[in-house]
Amino acid sequence: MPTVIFKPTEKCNARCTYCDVVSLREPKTMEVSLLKEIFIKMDAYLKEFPEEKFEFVWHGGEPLLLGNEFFEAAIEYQEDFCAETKDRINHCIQTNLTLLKPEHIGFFQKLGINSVGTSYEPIEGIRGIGKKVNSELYNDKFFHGINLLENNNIGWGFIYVVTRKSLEDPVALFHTLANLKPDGGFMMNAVLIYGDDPDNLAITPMEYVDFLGTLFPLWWQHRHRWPEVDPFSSLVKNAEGHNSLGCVDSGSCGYEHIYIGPNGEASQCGRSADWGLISYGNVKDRSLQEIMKDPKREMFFERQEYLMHNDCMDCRFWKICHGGCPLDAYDEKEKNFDRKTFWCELKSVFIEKYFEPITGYSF
Amino acid sequence: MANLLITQTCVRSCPYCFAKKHMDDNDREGMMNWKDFIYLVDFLEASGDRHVSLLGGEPTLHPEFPDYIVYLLERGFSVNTFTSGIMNEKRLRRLERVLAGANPDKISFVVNINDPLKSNYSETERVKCFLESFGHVSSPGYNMYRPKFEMGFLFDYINTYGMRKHLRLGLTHPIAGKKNAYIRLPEINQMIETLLSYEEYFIRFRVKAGLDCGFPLCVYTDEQLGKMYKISGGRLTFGCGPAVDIGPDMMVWCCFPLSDYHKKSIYDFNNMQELLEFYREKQMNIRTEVQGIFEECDTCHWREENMCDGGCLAHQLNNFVNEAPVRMPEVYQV
Amino acid sequence: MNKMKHILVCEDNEELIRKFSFEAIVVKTKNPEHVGHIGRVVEETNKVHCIELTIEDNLSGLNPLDDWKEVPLHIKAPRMGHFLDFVRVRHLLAPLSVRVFLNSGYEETYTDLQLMSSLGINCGLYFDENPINWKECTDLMDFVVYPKVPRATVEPFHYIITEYQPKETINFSGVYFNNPEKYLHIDKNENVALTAENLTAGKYLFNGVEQIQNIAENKAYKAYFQTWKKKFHKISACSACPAWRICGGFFENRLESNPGCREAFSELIDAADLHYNNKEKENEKQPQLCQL
Repeated sequence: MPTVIFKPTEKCNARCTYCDVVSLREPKTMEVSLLKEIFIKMDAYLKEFPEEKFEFVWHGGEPLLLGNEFFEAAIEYQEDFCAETKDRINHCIQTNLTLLKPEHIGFFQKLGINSVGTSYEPIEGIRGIGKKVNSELYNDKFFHGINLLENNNIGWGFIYVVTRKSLEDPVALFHTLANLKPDGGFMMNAVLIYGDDPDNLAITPMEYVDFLGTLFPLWWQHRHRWPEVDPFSSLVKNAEGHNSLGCVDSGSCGYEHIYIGPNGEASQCGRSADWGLISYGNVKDRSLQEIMKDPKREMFFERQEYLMHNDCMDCRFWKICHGGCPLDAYDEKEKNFDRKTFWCELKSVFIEKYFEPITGYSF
Repeated sequence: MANLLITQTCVRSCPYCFAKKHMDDNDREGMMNWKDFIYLVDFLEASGDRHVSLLGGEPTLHPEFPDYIVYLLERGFSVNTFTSGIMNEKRLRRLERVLAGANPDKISFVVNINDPLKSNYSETERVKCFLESFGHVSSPGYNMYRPKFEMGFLFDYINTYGMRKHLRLGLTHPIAGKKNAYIRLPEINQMIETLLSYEEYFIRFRVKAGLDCGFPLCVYTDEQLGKMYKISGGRLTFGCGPAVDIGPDMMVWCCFPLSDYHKKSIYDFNNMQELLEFYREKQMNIRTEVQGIFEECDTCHWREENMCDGGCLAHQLNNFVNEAPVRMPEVYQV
Repeated sequence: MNKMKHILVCEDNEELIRKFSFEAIVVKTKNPEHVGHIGRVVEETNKVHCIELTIEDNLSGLNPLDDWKEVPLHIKAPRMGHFLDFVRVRHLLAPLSVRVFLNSGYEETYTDLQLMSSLGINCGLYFDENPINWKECTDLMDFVVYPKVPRATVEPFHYIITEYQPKETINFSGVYFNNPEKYLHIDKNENVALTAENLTAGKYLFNGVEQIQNIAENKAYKAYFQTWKKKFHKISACSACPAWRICGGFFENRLESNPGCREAFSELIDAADLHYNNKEKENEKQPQLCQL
């Protein structure tokens, strides 16, 4: 199932200290006319491949900054141009929720969005609004958004970004995350900072591993009590033989992802677009079929073949790692992705130092 | 049935006292509190046991002693209290009031009575006061710690105070490595003769002797065995098994003579069966080293046929105290 | 009709009680002699959920009356009193549908509740401004959750243990008729409040019994259920507590002056977990027989 990472705007109302959107001087927003074209092209793709579905992820920036007319247009275009295929478009949205209004709920419902992805940060000064990164105001609005979702029976899950401040008291942080939504789940990702780090938020990969290592025994001991916490839950599922891999580890993102930016620029994913690494042209000029069959995607398949016979040969974690995210492996000089990433070592350190001794599982 | 030690202090200091070592080694002010007491009652009930013995020191010194008895009765237990019977007037009257309506089938006292001629006057008078109030639910207890002794007075007490016609006879044993007055092996026969010299009293007053554990079968002649059979009402055994005493600090041990031997916390066990099994195994370990108190025990067919346990283990352990530690480690005190 | 099916909690006031119809009612009284009478008045047109009798003297001084037999009763007493006196009361309470609550501020309460529970009287702690002895409280929790023999219940621990689900939060205020999801408080002037504290403080939702039927639409009512999220605006003692989901910040206002709830309730959630898992295992063990 192809996943469309749809970034209709680069604008964001929040000022999260680690986010590179902050640094954009002239953030772009998609024209409604382009949105129409995208629905027409999705319809064409789905008609050619009647077995396929689209996962259509509204991303940003902050997608709720798009005016009501943009969402109304999306609903209208889907009705008008995807009349036969709309049931095969699964919309989901990643939003900070701070701008959520009752009318958005109506849009979500019409687009069939019954669960929302968001981010949560209980540490002050990381996620916030305005130049002063006002966390209190941010969380006030965030929880207002959560209430609105819950009152309308729309589910939600969140990502937590691990920064240097998270390392101060990982256990208190973990409990706060786990208590927020005991019946839900969350994912803890390491912060990725490109360029300067004036707030000293970046963490080393080893610090991230030890952060996870501090929490893993806690989670493992009462794993049925806590919500689904990643990367722990996924690792356990994989260790138990149930395949559960995200795009970074699946080794198959080449088959699945299309990024569409505010000007219609197509790339592999949000990161590849942000880093200017891969361009599949523009949806204005190409069909989605062409983009999905772009010869550049061969790089990802060739990388898998290469790693299996070189860097990752005999690695017992291959099945759960596949050399990691190709983008992390990109070499500016070589202009290719043919190597495992620095995260590989860290994954194995976490698994061998914390995961396997505690769980008794082995890969 | 377990013995719960609710105090660790006593109003007397008997030369044979089997609890002396325990009391000396522990805080004499230590008393069993309510929470631990409730825990132990639960523990016993969970083990299917509905009978408790309260011991000390002197258990009646516990300020909540009457309350504890009432609590046990309310829980459906029967309660036996080992006491000197010595208590001041105020305590005695309070106990009387509290137990006034209690079912006499559910409460009993074993009143440890020393020879009045060898005891001080006020003690004896206090015991008599106690028996005036509780004689009908009391049996006399007497500890034989010398080969020759006088026990006619016990029959007088039984008759005078309407006591239950059961005389509990304690045999004093050594506490391994400590000094206490007890019957030495060569003195056993003399002690039996002294006891049986009261045969006529037992028969005439229809009093049954309840003999404490610890003497082997072979110390009796066949004629003595016959007499013992009669005065004990046919309940004659030659065993030595865990009695199980539980202290106010929730420590548990096999019996007073073995109070230093593999002392454990009650929390180490889930129920009485586990606890008894633990101490039976420890006793087996000693018996693997030495079969009984006499060398002949090693080849004795009465022991092989489990008619006799070979006498009190405390005698055996006492023999090990001064020897080099050459035996299996379980044998030594822990 | 009250779609939320709330139970009304009110004072001992006949005039007020007679205004309700077909409601489940908790009546609070301080007069032991009123208990039976109130029960009868309520039952005329309503249903007695419970009568809460608060007494100033120790439980052991109480003289239960014959007409208490038909009434579900909560008795709030400061202390149990002397054990031997309690034994007399125990025999009188035994045939009643009664729970006895003692004040958590007294040292002996924790042992007395063990005594009462072990003697078959359903009982519990109630909390007021007095400090809680958390060590004693933990001992009492252990007593409740790891029973060696069957005993009467001790609240709120019994409620927490039996209601606990691993991925849900629970609110044990209902034990004290103070959970707005289930109970609403009303005074003689028909002022309705979410909790007993709000009623006392004059923080009313609205005035008039008839408005209860629309409570689901009441803004203040809806907002109340979101207030817990304020504790998650930043990492707080409650948000970061392992026992949050069984406590919900119940002891938040005494965190500084009387700390210790975190440790005590962390033990309790572990016990609740164990209890839940054991129950699950027992269910697994049940053989699947065909229906006859």
